[in-house]
Amino acid sequence: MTVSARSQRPYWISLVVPLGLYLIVFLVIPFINIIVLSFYTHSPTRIWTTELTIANYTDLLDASFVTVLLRTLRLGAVCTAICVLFGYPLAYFLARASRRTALIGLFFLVMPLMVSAVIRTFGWLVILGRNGLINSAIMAFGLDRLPLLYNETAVVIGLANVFVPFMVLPLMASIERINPALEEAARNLGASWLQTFRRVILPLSRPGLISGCLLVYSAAISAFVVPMLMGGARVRVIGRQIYDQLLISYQWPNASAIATLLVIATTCFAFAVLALMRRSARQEQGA
Amino acid sequence: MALISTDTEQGSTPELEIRNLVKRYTAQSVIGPISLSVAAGEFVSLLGPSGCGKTTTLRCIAGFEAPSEGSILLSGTSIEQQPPNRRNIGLVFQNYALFPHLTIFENVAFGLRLRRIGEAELKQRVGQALELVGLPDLGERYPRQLSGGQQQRIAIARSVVLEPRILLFDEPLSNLDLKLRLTMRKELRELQRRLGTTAVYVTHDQSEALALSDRIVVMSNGRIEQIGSPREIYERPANTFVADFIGGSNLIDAVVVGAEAGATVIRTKGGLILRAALKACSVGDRVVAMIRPERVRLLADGEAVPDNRLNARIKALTYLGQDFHLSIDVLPEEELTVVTRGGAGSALAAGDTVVVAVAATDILVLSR
Repeated sequence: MTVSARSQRPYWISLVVPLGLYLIVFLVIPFINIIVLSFYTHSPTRIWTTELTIANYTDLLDASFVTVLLRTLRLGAVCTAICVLFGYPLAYFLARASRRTALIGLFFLVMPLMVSAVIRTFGWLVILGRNGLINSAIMAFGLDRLPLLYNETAVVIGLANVFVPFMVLPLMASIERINPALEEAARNLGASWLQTFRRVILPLSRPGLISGCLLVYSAAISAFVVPMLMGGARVRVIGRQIYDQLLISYQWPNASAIATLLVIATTCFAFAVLALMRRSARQEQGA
Repeated sequence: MALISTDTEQGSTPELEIRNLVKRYTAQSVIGPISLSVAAGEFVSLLGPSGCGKTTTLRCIAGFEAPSEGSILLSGTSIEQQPPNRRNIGLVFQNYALFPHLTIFENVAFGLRLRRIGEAELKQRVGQALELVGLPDLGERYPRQLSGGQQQRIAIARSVVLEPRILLFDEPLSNLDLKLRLTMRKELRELQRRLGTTAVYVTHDQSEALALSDRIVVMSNGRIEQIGSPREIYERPANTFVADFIGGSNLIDAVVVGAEAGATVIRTKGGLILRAALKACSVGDRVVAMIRPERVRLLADGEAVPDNRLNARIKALTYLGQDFHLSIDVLPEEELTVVTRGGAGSALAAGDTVVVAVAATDILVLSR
């Protein structure tokens, strides 16, 4: 399917090295730097001193941080669930639609990604704000305005809006590869539409579902702009916490510790999910 | 045995009846109206070139297409409003459509599990079905570990295990190689006879239709051209389309010039006067004469025949193992394809002159 694993050495090196170098210089080295920094001691005057400590990590056991952490993971989970809920039908529709329809649909799906996060979020503010479109409409009927902004719901709405494409695209690719005759076979054997989905489409599109969840969840828990603009001060998430520690409190070692924790958590999650995926792939191959 | 259904009612209601079925896609592509009835236990083939509407008809019966007009009745009850999962009509797909994520056992058990059949009965029925198709030991395998022929047998088992009222086949053998196709053809026919299930079989392969069917429905351009037993279809085609599509035929434009005792006399476009089979027509009618290649006989020297003795020259000759295919120029200027057995053809070469004969009864007169 992909380039043969047995291809000769010089060949794959030339393919991998450019991006590899880029990632090493701009991602791996800075990240190692962050890990190192997370073990340094905070200093109010010099930002940090090179005395090693694990205080930055033990500080994270603090109740207020644990609240932020749990909230972030919860928001990520809810956002992922919503993306699955809205993404599955859409992915199915696009996968089974004519080429033309699928192209138009994909364009609209990806369009939010072409707008900068800040502008898109301000769009939401216009709709959900105290005097936004929805509240104006509600008040026109003589009802009280609803608190639509600066709460977790607002953040979930904002995040799901951005991340739905990350769910739909891999799901769609998975569903496209399912022979439509399998659905007809299931129907023919007596399965209702829902049973067909549960017994045929769901298990066969699981790889797409898993990669979609992986993408959405890791993106959602590290999101920053949307929670800040739509959640305000009350909905503090890890991204916001790192930002504040870094640029407002000048707590660089502490910010580094949070960042390291976030990366480790995401990586562990990704590995767990990928292991799951490999197992389901093996199962499908019947090995 | 649970799988073998008994023919309880052999009454006047056909098992399956299609009345004036029409399926409209666009103004140009319309299928039907098609009317057809299939008796209980009958094996009926829908035969025709691709795009003739045979698959659409089948999909309407299965419930995957909604007819634009007309009705489909199963034992007298209209079913076109029922969703496909309520019809209990088995469908065997061209590409088998086995579930790749399920074992063979679970594939066959799929419909039974949906019907909430208990584990003990389920095991027994799946076992019987696998036995029936001759693959009792493959239950633990996955579809991709099976050959095409095995997969098709499992697909059949998966349908048959539910004791469907009708079995539909959508070109089930066309993905198999020739030799396997021939074996499977025989097995399929035996299986259907044994179960007594009514079968509707879609194919574009005329030899398959001839070998399998009780009756053949020849279709083209969304219409039924002829319905009849394999013999009728082959020996008395209703029109030039059927004559041409079923078996190779020599089709020659001709004009009726008279009638003699027991024969119609025609003159071909090339000027040949032939005595042909009787047909109700009048002098001057423009017709098509149909001659099956295997009905043209090479004559030995001095052999006398009652009618249609023709001088010809061999234009080309193809060796096909069992048969020889001859392309001959019948003088003055008519071309015929002739099939002859190996022995008679082996001494011939292109350019040789031969004398051939066709019995008057073997020249069918079809209206143009």
